[in-house]
Amino acid sequence: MKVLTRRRFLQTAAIAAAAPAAVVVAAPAEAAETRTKRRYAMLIDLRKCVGCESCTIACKAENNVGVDSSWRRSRRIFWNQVLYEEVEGPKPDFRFLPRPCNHCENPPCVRVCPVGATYKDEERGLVLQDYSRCIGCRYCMQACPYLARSFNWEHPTFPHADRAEGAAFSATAGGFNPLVPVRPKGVVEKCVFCIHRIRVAEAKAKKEGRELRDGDVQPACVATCLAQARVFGDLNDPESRISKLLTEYDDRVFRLLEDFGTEPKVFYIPEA
Amino acid sequence: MATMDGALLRPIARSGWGFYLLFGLLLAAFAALAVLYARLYVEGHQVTGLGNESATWGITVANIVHLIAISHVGIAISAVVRLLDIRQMKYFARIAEMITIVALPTAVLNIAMDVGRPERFIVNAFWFGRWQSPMVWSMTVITVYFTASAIYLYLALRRDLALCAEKVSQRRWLYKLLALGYTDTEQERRTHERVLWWLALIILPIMVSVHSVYGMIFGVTAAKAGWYNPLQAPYFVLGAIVSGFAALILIAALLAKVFGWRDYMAPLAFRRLGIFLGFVTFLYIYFYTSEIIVGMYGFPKAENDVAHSIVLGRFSWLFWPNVFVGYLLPFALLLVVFVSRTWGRILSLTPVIIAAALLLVATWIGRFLIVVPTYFEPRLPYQIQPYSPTAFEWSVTLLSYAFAATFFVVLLKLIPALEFPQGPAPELRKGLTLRLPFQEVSPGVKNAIVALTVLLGTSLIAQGLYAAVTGPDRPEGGASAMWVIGLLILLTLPLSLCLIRAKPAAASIEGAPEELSPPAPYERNP
Repeated sequence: MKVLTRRRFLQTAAIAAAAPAAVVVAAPAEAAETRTKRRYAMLIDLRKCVGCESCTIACKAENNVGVDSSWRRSRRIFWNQVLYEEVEGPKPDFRFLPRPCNHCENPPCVRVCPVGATYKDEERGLVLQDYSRCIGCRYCMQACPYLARSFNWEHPTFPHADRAEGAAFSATAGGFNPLVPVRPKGVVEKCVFCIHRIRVAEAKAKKEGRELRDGDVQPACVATCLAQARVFGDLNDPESRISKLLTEYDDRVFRLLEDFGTEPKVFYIPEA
Repeated sequence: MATMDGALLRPIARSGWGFYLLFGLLLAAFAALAVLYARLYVEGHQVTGLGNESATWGITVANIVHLIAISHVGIAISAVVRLLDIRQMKYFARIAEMITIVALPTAVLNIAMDVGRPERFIVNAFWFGRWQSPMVWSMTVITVYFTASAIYLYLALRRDLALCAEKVSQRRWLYKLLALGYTDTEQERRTHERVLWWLALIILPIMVSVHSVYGMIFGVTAAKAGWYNPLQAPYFVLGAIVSGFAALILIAALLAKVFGWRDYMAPLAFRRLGIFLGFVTFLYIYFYTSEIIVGMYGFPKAENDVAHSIVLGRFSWLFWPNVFVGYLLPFALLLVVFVSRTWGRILSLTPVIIAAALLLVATWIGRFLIVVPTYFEPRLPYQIQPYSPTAFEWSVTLLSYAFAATFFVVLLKLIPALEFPQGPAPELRKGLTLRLPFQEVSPGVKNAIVALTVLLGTSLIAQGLYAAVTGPDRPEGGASAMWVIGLLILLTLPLSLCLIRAKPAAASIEGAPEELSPPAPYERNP
């Protein structure tokens, strides 16, 4: 986080003095369809999903999400959540829909955040969280139509993890993932498409002097899925598996609450 | 004059056992609030009834909206008195301003109790504020409104503080200090009247914007059915006028009863307030009815479900009694007061007070019904948990009113709640109050100070807005601080105009600033 330095103040003053009338609203640059900017997205094949919720559990383990010690469902934090719908009628059925954060291209949560604690990472096409800036007003939670966000109503507890001192730095990391911060109470959190895994893959690719390849990065939910129902990739890469699948299933693929205009990036292949 | 002075100074000069008892109770309540808040801070919001797949904003947010609404009445009455020259309401003005000064910090206290990170919300919203967020608009306008109201109250008070320095023996040092060299000359009175006239005019749109912005916080949230509505801004402002006037009637009636101020706050004046309240209540009922009808007819399923849940579903047990006893009954009472020849002639305060009390509670419940029902009609198949505010949550929400009452009682003790009458100037001994060295300057210096203030303030605002609008979507910090500080600097203008006296040059006109025109009506001898 950069503080307003004197240099920036003077620069701003100079610009302001030079162009008094032309205050141009610089809209954030449209996500250019170039190879250098990525648009990470996810495709979930609902024909394959069996509702085992391994993705949910893997996500919680990967991202140091506190285990809900209380019986209250309203204290639970889900980054990925499997929604259930009972189909009544002549052929009763159960439908499952795993719902991570949609990482919308037009995110309503980012628009309303008063401090910029949730923000759009234009480089990767993700909506990320800054827990140190979050004031816990929960306005983003009101704005998200998918209810994909969770608030920390209490200090997270990890009864399963080794809480001995220095455990986080031990070989097993004491049950914590050292790449992911543990959030304090009072802040909002949500799925970030395992940005830490993306950064690790980027660093590795840079070290090897190459571009990131499709398949280099797999968020925890994608890697864990028993039925391999989830695909993760870059929409800006026409050769990526997700782009090819989207083209193949273009006639039936859907997104949640499409008419809202949020342009979510989680696509679903419906059951037959 | 002696009896009038006695009546006006009664709360300041004497403290009976009743006061000590009340103040003791209030302090105990305040201490209880502090303890509860500490627990909330340490344990987190798990002690409330809110939840992730449930209501995430609850009675505390409804309370915030309610308190901000009540805070409107200050400038509403002051503007009516000063701009429209409705002398009859004169004695309500300062009480209304005090309500504003007390309600706004209580609202901020409630905000502090609602956000997850109270230790950083003010600093972060101030420094990293995003201009696109309605919450930052609310931070800006509340800061400006509170500061402007405080400055307005102070400048209107200044003469009375100087008079208190003369007449009241306790805390004389405080009044001497606060009056800051007021000399009660004809010139000074005129300057104050002019500045206050313009300040009242400027604060009026700020007041409208404060609650409009709160309406916008809900109105722009398309994700929540029932909130998304372009008319939330005027709807909230109407509700604010209802709440504010209801609160004023109740508090003023109570003070008039306790301190025997019936001569100054005549039943006729209360009747007028009541009639105005009835009119605004009618408008509010009109808006509310149209919301319900459109919601019930609405086709977006979620919108329909929310309206349905309020009118016929899980909230109907609260909605219908609120409509009948909370809105329609008070409106009927006030209509009768207005219309009936027999009943209206009874200049009794009782129907007006009952109506005001009912409306104050009804608007609180109305805000609850705006905030909470939408959570139970999600657009995706979630299992929404019921929201039942815990005793803890009720306690902190209601005890915040104890904070407000404590603050109000302290203000009552310190400053005269009614205006002293004005005789021909000057009525004060010269040199009675403390005067600081910068307060006597040459006209050129005073004009320079004024010009500098305007320049600095406007340039900071422009800079801040420019930096915000052209900067990154995620602010690096400082832009919002610039525009807020710019606004606050501009608000010191009334202070410098009134507090700093230009020493009259030998042959030139007194250094009253010429840019204040047209001349405003000022107090004549009563």
